[in-house]
Amino acid sequence: MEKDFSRRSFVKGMAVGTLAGYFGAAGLSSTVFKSQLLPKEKVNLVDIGQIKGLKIKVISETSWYDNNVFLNDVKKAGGLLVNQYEIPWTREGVKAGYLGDNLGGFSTYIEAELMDGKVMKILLDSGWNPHWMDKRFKEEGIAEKLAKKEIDFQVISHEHIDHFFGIESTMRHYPDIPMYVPKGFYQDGFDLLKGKSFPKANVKNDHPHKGKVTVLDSKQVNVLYPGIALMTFDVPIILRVFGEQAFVFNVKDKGIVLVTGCCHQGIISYMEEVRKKIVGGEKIYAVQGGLHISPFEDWDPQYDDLIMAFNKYGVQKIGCNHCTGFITAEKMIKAGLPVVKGTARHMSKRDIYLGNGDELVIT
Amino acid sequence: MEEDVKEVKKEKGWGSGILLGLLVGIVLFVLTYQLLLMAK
Amino acid sequence: MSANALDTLWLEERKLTDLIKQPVIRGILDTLLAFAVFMGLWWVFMDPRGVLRWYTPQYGYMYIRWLLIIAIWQVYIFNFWPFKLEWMEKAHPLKKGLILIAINFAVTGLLVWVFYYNIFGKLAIPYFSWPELKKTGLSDFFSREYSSLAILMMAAIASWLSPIWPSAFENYPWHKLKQPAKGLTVFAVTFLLTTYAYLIFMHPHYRVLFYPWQEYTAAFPWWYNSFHTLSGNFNVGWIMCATVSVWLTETILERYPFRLVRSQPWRGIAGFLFILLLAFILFFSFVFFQDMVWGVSVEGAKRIMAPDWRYLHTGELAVILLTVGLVLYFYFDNWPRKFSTEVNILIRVAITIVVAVGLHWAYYKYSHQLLGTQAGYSHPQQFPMAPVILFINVMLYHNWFMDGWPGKRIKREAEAL
Repeated sequence: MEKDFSRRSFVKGMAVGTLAGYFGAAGLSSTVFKSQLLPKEKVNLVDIGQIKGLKIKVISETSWYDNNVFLNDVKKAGGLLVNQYEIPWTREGVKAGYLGDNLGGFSTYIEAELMDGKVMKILLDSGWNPHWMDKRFKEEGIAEKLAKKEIDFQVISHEHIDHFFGIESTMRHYPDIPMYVPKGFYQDGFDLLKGKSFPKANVKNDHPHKGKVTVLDSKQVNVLYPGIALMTFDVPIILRVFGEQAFVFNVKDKGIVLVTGCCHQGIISYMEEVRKKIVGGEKIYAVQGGLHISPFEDWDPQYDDLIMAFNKYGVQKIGCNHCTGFITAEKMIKAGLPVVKGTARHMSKRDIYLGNGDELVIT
Repeated sequence: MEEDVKEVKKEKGWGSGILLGLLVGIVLFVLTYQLLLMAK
Repeated sequence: MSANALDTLWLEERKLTDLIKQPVIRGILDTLLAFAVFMGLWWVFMDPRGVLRWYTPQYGYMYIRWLLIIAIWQVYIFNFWPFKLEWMEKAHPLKKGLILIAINFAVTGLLVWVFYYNIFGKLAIPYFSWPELKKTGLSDFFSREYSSLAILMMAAIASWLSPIWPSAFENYPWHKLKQPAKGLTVFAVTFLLTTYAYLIFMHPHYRVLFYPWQEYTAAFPWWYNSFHTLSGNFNVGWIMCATVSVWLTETILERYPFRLVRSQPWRGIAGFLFILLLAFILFFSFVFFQDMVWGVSVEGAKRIMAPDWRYLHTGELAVILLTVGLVLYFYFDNWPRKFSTEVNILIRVAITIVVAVGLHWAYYKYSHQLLGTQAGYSHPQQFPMAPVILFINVMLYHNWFMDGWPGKRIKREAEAL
């Protein structure tokens, strides 16, 4: 027996066997035995408390007025990966624009009534074009509330142009407003807050921020007040932005209400995270804000996946707008989703979803 | 003839080599699996 | 490669001699040289901070994929025709390289700008043409992105199917034809298969890409029920794994084990099936690994939780694996070669996997600073495939077109004797 045994053949056989064993095991465990081998998800629920009711007012959801002008700015600069602080944005001669300026901005005003009756007043984001934002803040009484320091704090959902570059419009009234920004903010963002200007992108802030800035982390659910929380996501975004945060409100007798800026983390991912991390997360009553699906009226089959999956979450009211996109809204309505209609005022183009000046009240 | 005998000799060992190899390969994959679990 | 091969390429017969000695030092120098050339090309053509900024990402990626497949056709299908092999032996590598690269670029430009934009896109399917798509009212930017994806997928499928003929089938049954008849035949056959494969695997993606759905022109994405996405990224992922399998078997695996099959077409069929099997193992394992680390993907979710991105990422993981394999093959002389084939292959595979894990870590830690892209795994404009394949293109130019010069050069007849 020993005599005919070839060590050489044995080693060769072993080499072949090792490769076959490794790749065979990989192939079988990733197909046939996959469900048994996947680790179980850890569930760790946080109780964020409750609020009595919620009023959400759209100050501005129109970020820019002519999509093609915006996209050409991006294309000329070298595409969606280019740093937003270095793109010369078109601000003149746009027919559809506000006084010829293509830029608008995004901002939402929120009043949340705590269980003890106190009303928390929150400003989410500060838009882009200061002229437009000044006008809208004045029309909706935000300027006055800011000047009287009635607004408790401001949350910047993420660093994008249309949510953050109009920071001057907030600062001119209330430079020491407490602020929450998500982890991932660049130094450029903090510099703009402190008064630096970026001439290439045509953005400035002549009223430096003097208040407290809190950077929120993605590691935990950040409960600000009972029933009011922020969740932060480490998400890479176009135009060299990183990180976004959004609100979770828990309204008594209704359920969870999510209020977003752009929701780059994805609305389904967001709802999944809420289900995994927050007590009562399985009952999401309403969603409000930009859902970032087809902001440029562009499309990807992935977005159809989203619309087809949305129905499974049992959301009662979808108060979407902004970067949700008109194509998405049309498809959602066709799929039977409860999209809340708007009134198409103050330069919002269509009444298919909540527009500028429209309100969503949940009590 | 000499050659033929050698050929036969060479054939021996393949089978047991492959069996042991399969075992080693599977163990290596289990290690990969454990490492991935730790990376989670 | 094997003694009983029906047909061999000039590349396999080419004998090279070292100008700079291995071990290791030439390998490292060559890798650095290729990397430097890659960085230069990236800065000029692709980098979002650079000169032309074509990495938007699909537009630049389209060119990268076409440069690759044209190089494969030049070398594997046409065996350098119309150049004479004598000239290939004698011409200085630099001169040869510049001419062959110029042809590579020119054919790519011709195909994209003339064939796709102005013939195929204009007369057959508008989404293959940037200007045609724009005419329908789509924005300039997305017209370019959508058409680029379609055009690049033709190249991606071709770089899986085309090399299978010379590599696994040894050009059977056309091995006896002379160039250019042989090249043209193999090209025609493999590109016909590519076109049908495209229509099955990618055309349904375009049914759902446009609004409203183009239900009369393309089938419903047939993979939806099993793989939970309408996106063609499912096919992009496994086809990329298949392409990687072809090139892994061609290089570090030395066409083993299917080259043991004695006669054609059985060897070719075995090769094709082996490559497909390896591709599916890579694909499903990579999906499994991701599900383990990030949790199972969720239908309709975005970014790292999106099923379609997970599929795309299998291709990205595969191509990182391939790069390491190719560096080992081209620059480290496919080390080791002193043991039996089986043992050599086992060692190479082990090295490739270990280094690829390191490269993957380094890529996601540092590449965004180097390449001007965005940090994080799942940025929608972040395709590791683009830079990695451009780097592979540079290695192919260097080794196929320029004989690995200045580290190596062709052995003269007298030396060979």
